[in-house]
Amino acid sequence: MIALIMVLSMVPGILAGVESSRIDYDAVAYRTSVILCEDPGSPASDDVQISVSGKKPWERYDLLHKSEIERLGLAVSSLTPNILSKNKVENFFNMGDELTFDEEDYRSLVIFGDYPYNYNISLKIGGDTYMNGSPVPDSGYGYMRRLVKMKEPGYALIDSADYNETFKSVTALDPSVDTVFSVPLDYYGLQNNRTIGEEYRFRPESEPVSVTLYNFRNSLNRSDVTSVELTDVLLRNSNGDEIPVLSGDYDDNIYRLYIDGTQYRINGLPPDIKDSEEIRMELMPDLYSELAGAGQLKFTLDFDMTYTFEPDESMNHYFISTEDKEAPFDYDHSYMTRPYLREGAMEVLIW
Amino acid sequence: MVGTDDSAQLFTIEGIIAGLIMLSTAFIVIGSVNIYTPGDAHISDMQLKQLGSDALLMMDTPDNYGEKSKLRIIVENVSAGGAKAEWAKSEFHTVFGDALKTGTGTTDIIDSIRYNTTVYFRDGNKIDNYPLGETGSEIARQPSVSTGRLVLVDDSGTNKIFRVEVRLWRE
Repeated sequence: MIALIMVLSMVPGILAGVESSRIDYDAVAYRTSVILCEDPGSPASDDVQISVSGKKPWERYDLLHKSEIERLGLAVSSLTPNILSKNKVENFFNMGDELTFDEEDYRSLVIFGDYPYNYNISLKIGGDTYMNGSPVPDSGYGYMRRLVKMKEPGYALIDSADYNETFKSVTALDPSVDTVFSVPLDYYGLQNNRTIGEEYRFRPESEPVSVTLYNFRNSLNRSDVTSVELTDVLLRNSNGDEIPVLSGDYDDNIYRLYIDGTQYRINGLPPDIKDSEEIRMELMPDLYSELAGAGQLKFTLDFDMTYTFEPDESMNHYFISTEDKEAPFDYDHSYMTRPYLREGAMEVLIW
Repeated sequence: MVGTDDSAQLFTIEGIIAGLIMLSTAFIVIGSVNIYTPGDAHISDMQLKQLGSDALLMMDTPDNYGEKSKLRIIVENVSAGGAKAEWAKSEFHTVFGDALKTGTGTTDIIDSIRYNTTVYFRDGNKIDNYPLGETGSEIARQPSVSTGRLVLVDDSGTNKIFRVEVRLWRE
């Protein structure tokens, strides 16, 4: 009799389990959206662990180390709910160069739970749409919609004409001028500037630092220029010594150099750039670890150039230089675009 | 005195078992009713509340460092009163209404969310309020949920805190 009572009392439990599966989907969708929008993932760059152990934030892992990722979250930091990091978003939606995630990864790192849920996660920021998962069924799914903003990294966009100099005269014997366009950068100061919220801060540890020199061709008085050679792009410390981090084996995660949209390596620069319009240097987040390891977080990004002119002394010979006017990478110059936010929405469907 | 007839014992056992059966019936009935889906309504309420508080949070987050957020501009205009407060009303409806309709295109978003907004603030020694108006009918099948956000306005030396409270429901 007692056994019968026990069996009978268990039966409704089984029925209730079936009935409440719909609710589970909504709850899982909510949980997934919270992890994605409000959590920076783990390991994350605002994690105390990271500064102690020297771990990288998850979005900078490669495929080999994917198994060390504990959780995929897209927030810039744990203090900035609903503000997503562009770098994390691109890696999460498999648009990055190093990481790819499959269904099993999403289930174990974002959705969690023993049951193999189907999912569809989409994000729309302005006109850009990101999506992964299965096609959505007509009904019977758990749903959550979140309103978010995505942080776009800031950059420097410098008009070469603003740095035209003409203080050197050339002679037939020595028709060339060596010049340096130097951009001072303080990685430590930018990364740890606590007066600015992380959603608006330059964070070289997790975002690329991009410096573009544009209007290069037109800023020259080109009739007297024979050639312009970009002899080197390098980092120098305050003593003027080179920090040898760009010259080693080429790695896309350290720097990317583009001249008129074509990517170059520093040991394979083109011989003449006098007809080029734009030089763009992107210092990637992995460089931060290299520099931190070397204790050189304050440095200048130098473009070394050699201009060769027609030796006509009656002409003013123009070249670009930062000798008279500095071009630091910080918040307060008209050529700087500070990090900014773009509005969007995220939808999470689970079934 | 004790008889050979033991039927009283049987009656007692039967009575106890009948009691047990009644108790177990009650237990099963209550047990099965309790488990049925009480959380269902809860979760759709929570979705609505989260959407409302997300919308207010995003309205209170400026796109660029040092700018004033849209919500703060609205609140400052409410504070200024007169025609500016009227402008704040329509601006709030535009921005908040658009936010509620924003999706990614994966699902069709049915524009069925209605809301009623009030700004509360201190005026001298009393708490005053300014209604930013409502959309649609207040009569609906679904329960309404309430969410809000505190906005600090720190201009002209005096700090003032406003509470923007939004009540949302599905029509």
